[in-house]
Amino acid sequence: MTPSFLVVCDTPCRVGRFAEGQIQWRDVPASDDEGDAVKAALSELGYRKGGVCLALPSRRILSARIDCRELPRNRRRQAMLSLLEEELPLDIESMTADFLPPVAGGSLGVAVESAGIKGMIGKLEAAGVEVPAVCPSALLALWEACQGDLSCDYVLIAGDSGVDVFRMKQGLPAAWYTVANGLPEVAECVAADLLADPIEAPRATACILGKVPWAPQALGAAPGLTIAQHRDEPPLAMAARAAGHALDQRQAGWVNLRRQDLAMANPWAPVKGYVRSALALGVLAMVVLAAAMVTLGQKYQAAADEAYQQEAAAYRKLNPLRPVPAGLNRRLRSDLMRLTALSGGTGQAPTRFNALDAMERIVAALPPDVRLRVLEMRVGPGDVLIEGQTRAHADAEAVTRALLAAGAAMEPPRTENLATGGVSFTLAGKPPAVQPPEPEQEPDATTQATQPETDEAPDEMEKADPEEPTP
Amino acid sequence: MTRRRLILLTILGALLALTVAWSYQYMVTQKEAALAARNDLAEGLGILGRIEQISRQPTLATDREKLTTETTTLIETAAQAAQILPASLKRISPEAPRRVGDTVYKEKPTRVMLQSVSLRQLAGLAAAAPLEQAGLNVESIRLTAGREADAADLWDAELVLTYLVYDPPQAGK
Repeated sequence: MTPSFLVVCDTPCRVGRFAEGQIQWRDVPASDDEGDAVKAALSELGYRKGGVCLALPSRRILSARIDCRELPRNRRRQAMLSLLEEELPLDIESMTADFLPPVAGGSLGVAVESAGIKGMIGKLEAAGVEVPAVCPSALLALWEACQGDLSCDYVLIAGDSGVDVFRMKQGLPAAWYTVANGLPEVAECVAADLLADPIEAPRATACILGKVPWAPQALGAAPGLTIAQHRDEPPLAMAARAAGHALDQRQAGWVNLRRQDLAMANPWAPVKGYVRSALALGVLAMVVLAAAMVTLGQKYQAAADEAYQQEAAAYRKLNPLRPVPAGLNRRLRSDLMRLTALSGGTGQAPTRFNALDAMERIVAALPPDVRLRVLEMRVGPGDVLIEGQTRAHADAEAVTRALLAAGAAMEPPRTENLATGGVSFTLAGKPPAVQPPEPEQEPDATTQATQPETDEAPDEMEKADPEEPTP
Repeated sequence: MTRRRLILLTILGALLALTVAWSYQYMVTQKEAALAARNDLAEGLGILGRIEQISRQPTLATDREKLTTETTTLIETAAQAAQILPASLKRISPEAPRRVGDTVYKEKPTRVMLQSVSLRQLAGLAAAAPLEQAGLNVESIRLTAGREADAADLWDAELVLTYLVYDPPQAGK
């Protein structure tokens, strides 16, 4: 268990150490440098570092009970201080106060004059002693006693020169009186309190902590009062035991006067300058970061604009008479698709049948040794029709075979004898398939002899005179 | 630090944080726009190059239906080049366009009636440069022997000239 240290701010000043159920005390000799003297005494008891509890004697404490039933919701503590100020001979600016938990509609306020205590705390801190808790020693002792089975109407705590009389309600002190340690004074105090605030039971009970200069049972002879307990243990020892809890933030003694003017210095004060500088640098960094990101964003925007202008310039170069459209790429894709279709690059381009080429092939395929007259020729994408006259049926068949050899899909010829002699024929079928253009080559002499030239073939094809019979 | 100062510092801190967040969002947005613009530039320059290349190629179809007068003028010019007398060019009859299968093209036929023309004149007309440049193709020919006795080499001809029009079907039709 970590030892706890207690500094009793009295005359003379005493320091105590509580550890493992044992209490050790040292008196602090009078010295010009009281802080160092206390530090030295603490060091003798084994103090190295950490917090000590500053216990105040009851003679330095002022207390009063205030009514808590109609306090405002906002600034409640300020209102409580104002009510306490009305009960005490101190003003708010010169005192430091704290309040016990409310009981029975009221709360016990405890105050101390700030100036003297502040000086003591300053000396201790200057000597390197931390003081996180400032508590009345009587309340520390009472709190320690209340941790056990202590149920009575009054608790009397014996001091060196006086007695602290606490009126208890629901396990909490509701009133506090400090009187001389004589029996009549104590009895009178209890009687007066009973008169002002009577109890329901026929007799009030009292507990006595510490040694009083009179017999405890003598107080029990007072009318309406019964001594329920008496503990010989010194109250300061009990306060020393409670000090450890006060230092552990467990609200030992119910109050801690280390507030207001006696409040601890801001632990961040030594580094406040650095913290401010860090905050300022942080703000500056964020501003610079924001500015950098905005600048970078503007550069990106400029790059985007430049890319667009470059593309628009290329478009204007290709289309000098047309304005640059909105949605440029969408328009370009549309134009490309249209131009591809116009040039036949979509894959859907239909094969175009040229009747003139087909007729040229048909005429070129006609056998040169067969005399015939053509009355009508019709060449279309899906049909070929030749009506004419020849000398014999075999000639019509020869023409049909020649056209078949040229790739035309011809039906068998229909022939009919003419009254004037000869045979009329009708050849029907499908034209030769479209051939891809052949690469240019040197003209073949053999081909020239058998294939009439295209330009001259039509002139050589005899056109029939319907009125003249076939020779 | 008083409560009021604390609230003021908190508000300023929140505003600063919002400013930083907005700046970051602005930068990210502009960066995405720059990347998109760069991609668009690459795509656009590629498309423009292909458009330029395709523009130099001969066209298979037109993107609009010619006016009747345009087609008539072309045929008359071609007939003149083929030394066909105006009196021999009897009739030019444009017909309604028809779609070519399931393709994006339509065919616009024009029927031309000629009288007493030679085969050489006929070939000259069909192969005339104006018609070829305009994409007009001889789809069918019908030749009929002339009735005049002293016109042995002359024919009556009926040609159907067609050209393709790029006309993708509308959605839903």
